[in-house]
Amino acid sequence: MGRCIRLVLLALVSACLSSRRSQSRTSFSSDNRSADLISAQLTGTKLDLQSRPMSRVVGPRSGDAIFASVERVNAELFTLTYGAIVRQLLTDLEEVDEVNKQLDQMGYNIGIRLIDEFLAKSNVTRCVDFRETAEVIAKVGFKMFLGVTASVTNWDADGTCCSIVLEDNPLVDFVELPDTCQGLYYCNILSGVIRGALEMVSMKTEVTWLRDMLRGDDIFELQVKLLKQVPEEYPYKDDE
Amino acid sequence: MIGVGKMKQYSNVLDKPLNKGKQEVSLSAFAFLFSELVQYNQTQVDNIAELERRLEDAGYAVGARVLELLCHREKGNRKETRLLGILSFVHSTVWKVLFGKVADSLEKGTEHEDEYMISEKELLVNRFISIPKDMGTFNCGAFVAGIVRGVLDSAGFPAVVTAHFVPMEGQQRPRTTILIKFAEEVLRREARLGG
Repeated sequence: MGRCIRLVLLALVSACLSSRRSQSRTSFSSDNRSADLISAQLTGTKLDLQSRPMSRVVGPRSGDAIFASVERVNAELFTLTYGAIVRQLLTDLEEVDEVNKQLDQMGYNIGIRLIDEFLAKSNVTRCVDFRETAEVIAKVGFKMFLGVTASVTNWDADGTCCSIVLEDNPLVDFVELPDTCQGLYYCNILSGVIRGALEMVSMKTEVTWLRDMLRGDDIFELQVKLLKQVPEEYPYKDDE
Repeated sequence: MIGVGKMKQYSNVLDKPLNKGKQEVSLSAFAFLFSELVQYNQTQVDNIAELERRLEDAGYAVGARVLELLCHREKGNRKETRLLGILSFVHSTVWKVLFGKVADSLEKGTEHEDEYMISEKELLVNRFISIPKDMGTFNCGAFVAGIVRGVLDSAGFPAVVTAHFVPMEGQQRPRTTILIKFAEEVLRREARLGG
């Protein structure tokens, strides 16, 4: 029985996630509608997403709209807390390479949890290609969590590698890298977040820093490279 | 010069103008980050006291910087020199900037002359935290206690600061009390300065 319920939930989640964006039929949100879908399933009613009434369906929300509606805290508390973390890591691990690794790991841990909130609040459904994914990260993701807008540039020919450029980065206020920390990627937590979040939507990526204002560049530039798309595990197809 | 988003480059972080401190990030971004701070420190310790001490250290570093920042921005480069002055600075100014509101209460201990308490019904850092039974009295408020100690210490008021849960009648969750115990020298100086 327990397994059955879990399968139903998996089916529901997978159906929601794989619904084509152009059809825009489902929204991945924890509103009453999802709840009554679940209860309908549990009582044995056939799950038929296509013929559900569409009255409550809304399109993807803009990053600004989401940021305006979520609870917020002062960015300085965030910035200084992050600084305290980096300093603790530098004291504990001593080697900047180890610190870079640990920051990336922490970001990854955040990413795999953050994606749930992102999908629930943004109403973004499956992206048609990696180009759209990158745009959504830059325009919706960064705005909704950090309140800043990023842009996407430098696409390669086959559309699997691009740069996300940040002009404004709340992590680095009040920060200056001392001589002893020149190898440090201070914001490495961000690249981990992106990698972790994308992994949860079946995309293996490699995220590296190309430019960093703390290292004297004029901008922050993150290169996101799509390594492979992991095929979905469940054989559910919503359009059959 | 016309350029997209060209910012003036400063060679030194201290040369940058102080912004007004009105920027915000989402609460979840902070909650995710704070949770990583706690989890990382959990891997570095083998007992609760040590974990609290590490969180307090992290907070101390924040507090020392907050004092600098706010003295420049809010107080025209003046620091408080009197006990009540610095306490109300923490309770009002610091709390307002960091947590968006003044702390719920500031009280003087009834049993000891050197003890003061700042209480908060729902401390920001405890909001998404539930303490497992086997972790006993552990309180993430240790981070905020560290911030308070950082501010006080850097202003010349050394103190021992600890965070405690205090159950409240009719409330499901306990409130958090930050207990401040000032060093002897602080009280002696205060007595010398007189009322």
